[in-house]
Amino acid sequence: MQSYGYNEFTKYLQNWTAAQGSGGTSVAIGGSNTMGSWVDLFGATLDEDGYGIHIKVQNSHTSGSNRPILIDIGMDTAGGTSYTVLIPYLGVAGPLDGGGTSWRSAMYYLPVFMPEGSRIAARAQTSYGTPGTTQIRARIAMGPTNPQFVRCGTYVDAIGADALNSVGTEYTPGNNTDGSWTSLGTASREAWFATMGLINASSSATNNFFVTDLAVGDATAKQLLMERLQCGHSSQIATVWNQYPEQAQHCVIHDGDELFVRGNEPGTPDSNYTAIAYLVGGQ
Amino acid sequence: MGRLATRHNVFLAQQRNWTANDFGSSITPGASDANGSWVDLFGNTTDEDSWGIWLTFTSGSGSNTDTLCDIGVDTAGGTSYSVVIPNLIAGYAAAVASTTTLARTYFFPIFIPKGSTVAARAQQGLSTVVSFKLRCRLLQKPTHPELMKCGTFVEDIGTNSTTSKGVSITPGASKSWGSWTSIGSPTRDAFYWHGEIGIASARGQNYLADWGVGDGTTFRTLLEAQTVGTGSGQNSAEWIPAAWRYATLPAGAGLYCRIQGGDGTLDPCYGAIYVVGGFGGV
Repeated sequence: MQSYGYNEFTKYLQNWTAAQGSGGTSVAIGGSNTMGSWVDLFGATLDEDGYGIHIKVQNSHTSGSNRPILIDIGMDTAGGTSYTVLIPYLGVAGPLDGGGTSWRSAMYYLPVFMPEGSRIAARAQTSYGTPGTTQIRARIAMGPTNPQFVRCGTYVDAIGADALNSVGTEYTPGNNTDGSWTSLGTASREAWFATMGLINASSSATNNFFVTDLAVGDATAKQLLMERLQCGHSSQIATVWNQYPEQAQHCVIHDGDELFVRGNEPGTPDSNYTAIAYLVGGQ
Repeated sequence: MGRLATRHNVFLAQQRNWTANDFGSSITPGASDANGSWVDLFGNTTDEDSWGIWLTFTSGSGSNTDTLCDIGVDTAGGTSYSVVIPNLIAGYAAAVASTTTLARTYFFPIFIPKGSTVAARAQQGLSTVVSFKLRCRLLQKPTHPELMKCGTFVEDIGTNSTTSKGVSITPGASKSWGSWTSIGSPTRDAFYWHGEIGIASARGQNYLADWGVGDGTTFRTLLEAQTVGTGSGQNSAEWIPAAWRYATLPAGAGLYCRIQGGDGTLDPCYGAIYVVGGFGGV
């Protein structure tokens, strides 16, 4: 029998107000695979508890260039600027102008708890020789009517991140077939929510899209966590965008569980596909 | 802060109508605002009880494609479909494998019993129609159904089957807000909502949409500043997590939308809201 109740979020906080123009917060990217400085995303502390954050990264694309970026989301629960990493290594590859005319940018949703009075910030790194800036749009859900229906975590682990090169773990999609499973690594803590980021760290792309599966298991048996996550990339622009982030979902992951990815491309795959799994845990 | 949940539901199975490199079922709309034929989305009955349905529309062309789509179910597994999700705005969606815009995506927490067939049909304003693709994913085998809130119906509010559009909403120009526009009211109590914006012949502008419940003067915000991106005749709205769409909407509640446009030339906008109610999965 299903639930009689449900939760409604009555308030949202977002860091943009206008229909055109930049929208969101500009973050200077650190070069040489070193994180840059923290940038306050909202310009103020949270006036209520936050129960999940939706992140969209955009405006950091250079045509024909390999521009992978890793982004940390940090939080200072005291409201200052001594940030602790809450969400590590969100991966993007040359996201375009998503605030303007397109949605060619990476999106992430993570159900993490952010207490009232916290300050939320972001920092970024890249291997690209001209780091520049990226733009981050963030929206936080607040004011739950029935928090007993809200599952919210206190930490996020990034499995498969390669911070030395600002990418994820490399895997090779099959040509019109599923490629081999590639291990991203193992979970170091219990987790109950999973999502995935993809970075095609290449300066060009042949096809328009590819799909990737995320699974947990071992060499012989796997349980799919995300199935056929579709990402776009283009021959004109070297970027990857998560077209269907709704596939992120609740799961059960134990300390020591191994995460895997495999891909499928409608044609000869390009090179340098990388993936990172993000696992939310805690209470 | 109240006590948060310590458990969660996991869906152990999904059923989808697409493989790796296609975009689901091809749907040919009826012309001139008439419904076309039903298309079975899965080619067989549902494997398990389903507790939610994801729908993603991609179009074959970004040209003028005012399109509404029904989702039908025959719980007996035949072809006598009853409409369970009416008149989804499906037009002006991103072309298949678009490099510009997101496809139109909907999620509805409704219950579809095991052994059902699920189908789609559509109507379009054109006299020479443009087909589109529809991907469908059913969420099945919940580990904790007692944590799920699931409905039995979806009600469309603001759609116009004589034009294959929604309610006309005039956007404010130059980053100012247009007026709150009434979309309509649900005729039954609801607990979940999805607002959708269609923009005809969009030319690469950016818009924001506010959604609210009210009386025309005073509003309770459902969602603020939802970004609506456009490009090459296509448009799509900022994806919102399904968990953020639950809201108590009693029968008769006034549902409204207002739109802010950017600095350039604005295109005609229209909107509709879809609400979920009922008590499914018992």
